[in-house]
Amino acid sequence: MAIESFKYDNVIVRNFTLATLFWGVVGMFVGLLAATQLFLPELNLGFGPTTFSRIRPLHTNAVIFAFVGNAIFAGVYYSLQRLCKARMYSDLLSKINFWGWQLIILSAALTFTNGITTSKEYAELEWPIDIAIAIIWVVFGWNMFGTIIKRRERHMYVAIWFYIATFITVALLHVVNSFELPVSLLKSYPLYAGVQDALVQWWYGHNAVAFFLTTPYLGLMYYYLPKAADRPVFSYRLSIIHFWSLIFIYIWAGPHHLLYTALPDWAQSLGTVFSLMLIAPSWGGMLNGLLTLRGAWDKVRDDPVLKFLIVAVTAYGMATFEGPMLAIKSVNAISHYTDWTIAHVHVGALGWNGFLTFGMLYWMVPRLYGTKLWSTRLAEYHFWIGFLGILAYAVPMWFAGITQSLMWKQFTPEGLFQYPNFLETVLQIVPMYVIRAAGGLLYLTGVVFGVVNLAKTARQGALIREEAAEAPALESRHPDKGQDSYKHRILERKPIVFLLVTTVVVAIGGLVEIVPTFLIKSNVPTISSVKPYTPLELEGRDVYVAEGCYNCHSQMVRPFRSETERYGEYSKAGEFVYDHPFQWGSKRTGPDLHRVGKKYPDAWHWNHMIDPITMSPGSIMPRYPWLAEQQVDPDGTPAKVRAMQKLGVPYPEGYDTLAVADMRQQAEVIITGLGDAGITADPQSKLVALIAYLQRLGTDIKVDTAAQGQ
Amino acid sequence: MIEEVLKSISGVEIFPIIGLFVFLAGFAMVTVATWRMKKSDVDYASRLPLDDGIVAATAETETGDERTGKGNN
Repeated sequence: MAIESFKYDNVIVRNFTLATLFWGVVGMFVGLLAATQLFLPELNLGFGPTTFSRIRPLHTNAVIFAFVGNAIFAGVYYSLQRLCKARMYSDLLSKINFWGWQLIILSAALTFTNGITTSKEYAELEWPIDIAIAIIWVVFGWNMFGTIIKRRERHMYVAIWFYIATFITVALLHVVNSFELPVSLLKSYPLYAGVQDALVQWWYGHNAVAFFLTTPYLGLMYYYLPKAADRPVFSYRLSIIHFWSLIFIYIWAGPHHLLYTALPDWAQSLGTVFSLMLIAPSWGGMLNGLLTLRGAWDKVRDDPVLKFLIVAVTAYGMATFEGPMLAIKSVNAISHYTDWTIAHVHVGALGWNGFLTFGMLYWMVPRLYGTKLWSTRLAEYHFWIGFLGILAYAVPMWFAGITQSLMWKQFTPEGLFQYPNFLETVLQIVPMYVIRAAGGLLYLTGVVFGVVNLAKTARQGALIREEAAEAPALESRHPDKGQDSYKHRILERKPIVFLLVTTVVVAIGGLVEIVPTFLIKSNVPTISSVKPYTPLELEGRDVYVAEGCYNCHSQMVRPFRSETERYGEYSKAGEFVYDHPFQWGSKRTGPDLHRVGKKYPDAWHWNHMIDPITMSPGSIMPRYPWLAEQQVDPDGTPAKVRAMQKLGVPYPEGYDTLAVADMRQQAEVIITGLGDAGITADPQSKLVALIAYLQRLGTDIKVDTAAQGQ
Repeated sequence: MIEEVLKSISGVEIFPIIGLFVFLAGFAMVTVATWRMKKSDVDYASRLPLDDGIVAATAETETGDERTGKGNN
């Protein structure tokens, strides 16, 4: 067999590494700012771009897609070339992948801070950027498959399967969740509404965790842990079984984000059952990683790389046990909407993703620069400070979540609320927010140590831009063909077939869970009294979405006595049929708002939004004074009505021509009422529109107390 | 109250049951297939990250200088 010479491209790996470090610091700093705002609300500055509800999605997107995303590309571009014994298929595609991804991240920073958002978690970017994401993702896949196809190593190592599964599933999730109708260049409405939108969103949202935060990192683990430990993975057989189990089961778990909501019961049960089943393949991966070091644990003592990797795998095991526990309905009844969810997320994000990233970088960067790590001691400091940071983050959040939930549910012996004021439950956990922020600061400090260490390492060495390698050319016919020792080996040689089989496996769960909600009408019973939003309410809803109110307020009263007593009638599926997008929320830093309509007078809402502490002393909610000055654009309202009509909302034909007049008439009523309370308001202000929307919430159905004989 | 909110739809339970059977069948097949693997094939595959190419003696660095020495793979 002829030996071929070629060169690995290390420049692209270096570029993605730099981006990982930069966005890691930025994303975590934004997270630290957001965490601090929860006990120092004056840090919101009364300015839109720095307000918690706009910067929280900036933080989540920065750490998931900018930090983790660039780390994935860095790790994949390094490992894939060496596992395939081939240079990346196209240097041009590599560059497009890199610069395209950074431009997408920049666009996120610009749009989110300016209130341009879809409000769908981890998919907040508006439609033009969604298209850009799809293009760049295709570029990445094209480059990856091109490399795999021209490989010199016929067998695809397990890491490559995870990369393939990541590519196709993220593509599927992104495309399906991004079906939206543009209204303008920077505004769209999703195709789905209410229950279906919630289900598609959390099918996407959970599988973004699965196939962006888990599967690519499992692939990276399967490469970098053996490399760092200098020994093969514990069980290749286990890796085959856990790979297929994981990618099949994970997809079904999405409804565990919607337990005790208006989602049909059968879908909720599926989410719970498959979440519990997921423990097995997840722990298969964890055990495979940990047992790789059997008989060599002494190496961990002296090697910070192994410390990071082993704690990462352990955190993965913790998070993938805690997650299924949280998916059990009786546990979820306590945990949902609380900081327990935040604790769970961050054990995974800081432990699994963060630590594995730095373990990988500490191993890889010295080799890119042909040198040794500048300071092993500094890396050890990073590890221990980061580890303490994870503990100081998660432990107070566990306490906060359980404390707040139990306070919500506490009744006196006389059957009244022990804590009738929601704000009491928030103030009780503020000290835990302080400790959490300290944990985040520790973690970020560790990251800064890492950045310094890696920068010094780069400076003491010299980048090996083109790393020469040699490998035998691939034979045209595999010597074992016709005598395959096992059938899976066939799949491991054929990347396109592997891709197709993977696609079928991941598609099954989504089809089973999502399609019936569209085809079977009784899933979402209609309620005749539920009507479309008026034009002013629609504009107000768009203000609610733009300002990110869903980040702190839910709109889903669960069928528990503690919720119906506090908020009103539990939320029914049919109430959300015109909600494009749904606004059920996933966290209650503030109270649920689904039944807030007509609870407080308009003047209360006006004063509350301008400065919350005037109506709720001690509140940590940010101020929104610009909403009284900024105006709704009435020129855009008819287009919004027409878009809603296209999406099936039953506005009368031609209503778009009456929408502006209707809007002004409703606004006049509100400002007359505000005037009676001594408030001079602009009828075209965003705040008047928002008040109209808030006053509509939950009022479509009325419980007739007289008919109930009360 | 919960029954009112969470309506069951007659016949829909067949789909997840089919899904479970599909999974169990696939799981069984994959388990049997991997059980029957030859040890030599397993060892070969698991060592792939450790044997990822013979690196040549020279490499071009960022400064353009030629550097000699073994690669790090």
